[in-house]
Amino acid sequence: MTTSVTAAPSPPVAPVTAGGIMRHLNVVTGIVMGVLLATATWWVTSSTFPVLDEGDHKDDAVTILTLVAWVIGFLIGVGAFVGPARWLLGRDLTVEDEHYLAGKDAGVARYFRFTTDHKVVGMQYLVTTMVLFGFGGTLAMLIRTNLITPGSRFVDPATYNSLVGIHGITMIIATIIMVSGPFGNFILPIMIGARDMAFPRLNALSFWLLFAAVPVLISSLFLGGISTGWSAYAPLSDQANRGMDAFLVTIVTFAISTGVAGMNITTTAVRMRARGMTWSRTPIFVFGTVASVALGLVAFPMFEVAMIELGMDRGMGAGFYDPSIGGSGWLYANLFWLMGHPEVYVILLPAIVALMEITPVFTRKPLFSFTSAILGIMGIAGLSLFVWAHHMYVAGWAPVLGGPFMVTTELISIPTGLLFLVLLGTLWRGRVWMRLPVMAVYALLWNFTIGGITGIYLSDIPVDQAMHGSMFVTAHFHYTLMGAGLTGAMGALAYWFPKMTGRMLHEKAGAIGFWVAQVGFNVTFMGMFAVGLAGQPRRVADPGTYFRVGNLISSIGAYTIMLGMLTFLGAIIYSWRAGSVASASPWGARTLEWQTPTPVPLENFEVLPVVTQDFYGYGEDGHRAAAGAPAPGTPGGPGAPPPQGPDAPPQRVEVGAP
Amino acid sequence: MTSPTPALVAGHLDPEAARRMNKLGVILLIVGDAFFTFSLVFTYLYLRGLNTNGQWLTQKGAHPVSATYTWLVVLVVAASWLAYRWAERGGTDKARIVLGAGLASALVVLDLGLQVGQMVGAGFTPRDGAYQSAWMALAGYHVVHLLLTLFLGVAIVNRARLGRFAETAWHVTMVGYWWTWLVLATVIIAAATSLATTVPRA
Repeated sequence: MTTSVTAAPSPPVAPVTAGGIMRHLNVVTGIVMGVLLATATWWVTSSTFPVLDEGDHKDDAVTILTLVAWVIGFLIGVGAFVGPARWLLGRDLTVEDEHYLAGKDAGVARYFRFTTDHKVVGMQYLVTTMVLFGFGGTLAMLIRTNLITPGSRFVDPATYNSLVGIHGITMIIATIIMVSGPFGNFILPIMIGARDMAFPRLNALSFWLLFAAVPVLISSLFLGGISTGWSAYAPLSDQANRGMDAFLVTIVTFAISTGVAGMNITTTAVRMRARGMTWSRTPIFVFGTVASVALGLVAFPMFEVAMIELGMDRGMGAGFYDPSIGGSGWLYANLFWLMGHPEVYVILLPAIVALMEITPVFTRKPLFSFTSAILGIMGIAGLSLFVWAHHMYVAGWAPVLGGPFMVTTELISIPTGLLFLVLLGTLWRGRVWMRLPVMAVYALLWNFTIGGITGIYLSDIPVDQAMHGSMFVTAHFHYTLMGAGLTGAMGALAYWFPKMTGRMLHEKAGAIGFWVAQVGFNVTFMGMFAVGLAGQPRRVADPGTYFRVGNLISSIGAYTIMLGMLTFLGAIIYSWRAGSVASASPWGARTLEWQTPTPVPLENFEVLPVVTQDFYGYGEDGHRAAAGAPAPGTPGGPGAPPPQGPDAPPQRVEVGAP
Repeated sequence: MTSPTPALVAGHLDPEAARRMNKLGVILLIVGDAFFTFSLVFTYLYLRGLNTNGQWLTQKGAHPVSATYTWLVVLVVAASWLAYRWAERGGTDKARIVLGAGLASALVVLDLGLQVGQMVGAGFTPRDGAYQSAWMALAGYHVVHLLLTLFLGVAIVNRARLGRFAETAWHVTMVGYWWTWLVLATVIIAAATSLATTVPRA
């Protein structure tokens, strides 16, 4: 592929004003302002709100408003509203302000304030995702420890239920952001040849909204927990303790964050692609990520509404879900699952397409049937909006619609199969350059086959009636969200780690951790399939001695996962601090993110590239060279960094095997 | 990690590129907001259709809000939209933008007063039943819409006053898209709450 150049236009003439309040705002001022506003809100509402005649709505109203005040106060304190306020006042940000916001020359401090550089936001997402996985994983270990032997009473049943609920929502949030957050922000704009996201300040806002939601989520632990499971079915959630207030504020905040990010990533991909990057030349990762975030943009508002209505029920005594005054739990179930099933694909699509991006690189073959991949992504995104009621077969809602929803659910296996076909076709007869990133492809194919096929079983009404609410269902969705989703994210991290950190991931330690986790994963959830088939219900702290062996196996598997994940995490931390320095393109890949230096300059490219060929054109015989790919990154060879500096000749980057 | 070339940060793209980008961004935000609004309308219509335990507007003393008042709220919003459109069609005419957007913002304030007045004077609270809850949620969301629109309108007036639109007025157009959606959302909400009040016949 050949890229040519467009010169960067001259910067606009704008008045330069140094200083301003935004230069004094950071995460600390955010926390201080959040705590102050929350405290003031708590004091005012506690002392002024009346106690209603029935129920305990005052406590819930006070809790909800206090937590909302925390979020708003934090955003004010971190500087999220400086841009809109200055727009309102007509004092637009200057170039100098924009550079300050982008973190120019700010060192490590830029990671702790409202920084607009998409690479900083990507790294912030990466670290936050890992923290969330650590938190959710710890809760999972407590759950498995409790189940290690019947009657263990490691935790009491109420605490157990809360652990399950908080583990669930933590992992759902973490898996939703695990690819589109770090890589959608850091990698995608560079991959399409852009200097930044379309809306850098909204980009930062989406992260800091997420950041503000995390303490709210954790606070649920201290407010009585989330005893309903993460699905928070009404009217149970109407009656739950104040941990549910924290849950709903978390969801609403996260949904706004997701909506803003979805709008931003979609606009970036549609409007900011490099010259010559037609849709047929756009990397598949862009398609999958955009499909995912666009799906989130339409799906999450429904959950948001469900949560606001729950908040009104709890804080004002409204009757959305209370049948005694005309409400209905079915309303909640519909709104929840209208989001809930598309959300599965919001998680899965970016992970799968990340591996589609990886596979051609390590086989040195074109992506097999690019068109099938696009059709698969579009088919999944479209159909996923019409399958929600398969979660409600046994809820008694509209039994006559069971058949149509069974059909749409089974239909979705066809576009999913297309994605399998693309991965298998790309691997087919390839001499694979077996490195850690591509190992994730094999793991995903194994796990997702199991997760997918058990999903087809569960979409059938008779099977679902037998299996609903059992550990079989739990094992199924872990095979999809963790076995496919998290596995894909780990592959993506291994692949883009050199570009993001400037260092190579320690391959041996990373691979050991990865495979130990994979083995542990299969042991855990195969055991869970077994106890589920035998009839063990979900969300039961002490399911009895009949399921003793299966639960013991699952718990051993869970500890194995922990061991593997800690090893993988150790490899990440070690490599980030002291790993070998990575070249600009250590894999010899052809997409644009590898054509810019590492560390990536503030504005990504010295000159904006022009794309003249597709990124998967390794040639029909490219795979013959894959196993012995010429040392990528060597001067003049594949992956060599582009010319740099003001005196560099017009940029012509030869990419990939000749 | 800085580039030696004087390339642009994304916020300072050329106006045409920025306009196209912002247009798509605003449309996508409207799409997200539309799904939010439709979910609220779905809630209203679903609970009405379900009529759980015969509780939809069947309790003693329960009554729907005045449809005439509801459409008056719509009328004022529509008038504000017309005023804004007049301003928008003036291109970069500073005085016209200030006058039109100012009038539009004033009408939004009036509509805010009307909507809050309707909520306060409705004679019920969300605690009284499913209808009352669903109606209050829709009316409350209209208030949120109006507050956001007021922010945008005041900003446009202020920026026009400062001559920010001397060369290009695409900000005015972007806010115009939102204003159009505001009217549409208000009509949808009003249609649902005024045309579908009593329980449908079986």
